[in-house]
Amino acid sequence: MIRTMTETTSAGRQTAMGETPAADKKTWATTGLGVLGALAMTSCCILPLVLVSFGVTGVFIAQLGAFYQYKWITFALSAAFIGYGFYKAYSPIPAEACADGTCARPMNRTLMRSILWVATAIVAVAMIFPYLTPYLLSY
Amino acid sequence: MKSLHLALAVVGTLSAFPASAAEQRINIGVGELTCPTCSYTVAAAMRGVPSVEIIDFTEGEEFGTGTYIVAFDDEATDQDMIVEAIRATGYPADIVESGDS
Repeated sequence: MIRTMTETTSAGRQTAMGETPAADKKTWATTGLGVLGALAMTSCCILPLVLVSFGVTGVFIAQLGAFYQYKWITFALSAAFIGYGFYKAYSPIPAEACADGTCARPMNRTLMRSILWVATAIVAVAMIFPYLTPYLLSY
Repeated sequence: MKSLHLALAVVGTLSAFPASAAEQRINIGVGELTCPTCSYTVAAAMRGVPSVEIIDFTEGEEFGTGTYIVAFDDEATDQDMIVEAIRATGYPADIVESGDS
């Protein structure tokens, strides 16, 4: 019988066993890249508008707007990183992974899942916002 | 002769300054509006200039261009300040005549 080696601490933090430190780092790096991708997606449209509204100015504002033509590339990269992050954060850890005693310090999967969901929300808003702008904003 | 000089000085002074502030309207053509929110970003930059109000925006025939109809109080600001506010954000902008976009 395959038993998942997850446990819940007294603080309610669900941890996963069986991930080596190297695998932990890789998963966290993927999550970080997913977050960066999500932020990159806001750079063309939402970020310049917010900056100018707060009085920030500079020629880089127009350059940020030029990123819009690459939105599908940034979307594909963000989706790939976030998708891999979700796979690692939600996939059950088989008991065999710990059988050889290589279980490392537990990874905080709850935090990772939260970060991934926030990144997903940012990507979704960044994708939808340009189409809603005429209805949300006025000149 | 002295009173004539005084009268000329008064006329000169009055002609140099308008009697009261007046709302001015200008058309400003802007380029490189390559994203859906770019025109709103430019509008936000213009609203940072005192008394500026965006009356209308129309997209130009060429992709990425557009013309704003802008109203402002000529006592609070001038048209060059508005154009400079747009250029400061990196978008090319110029005052255009009506129907010149």
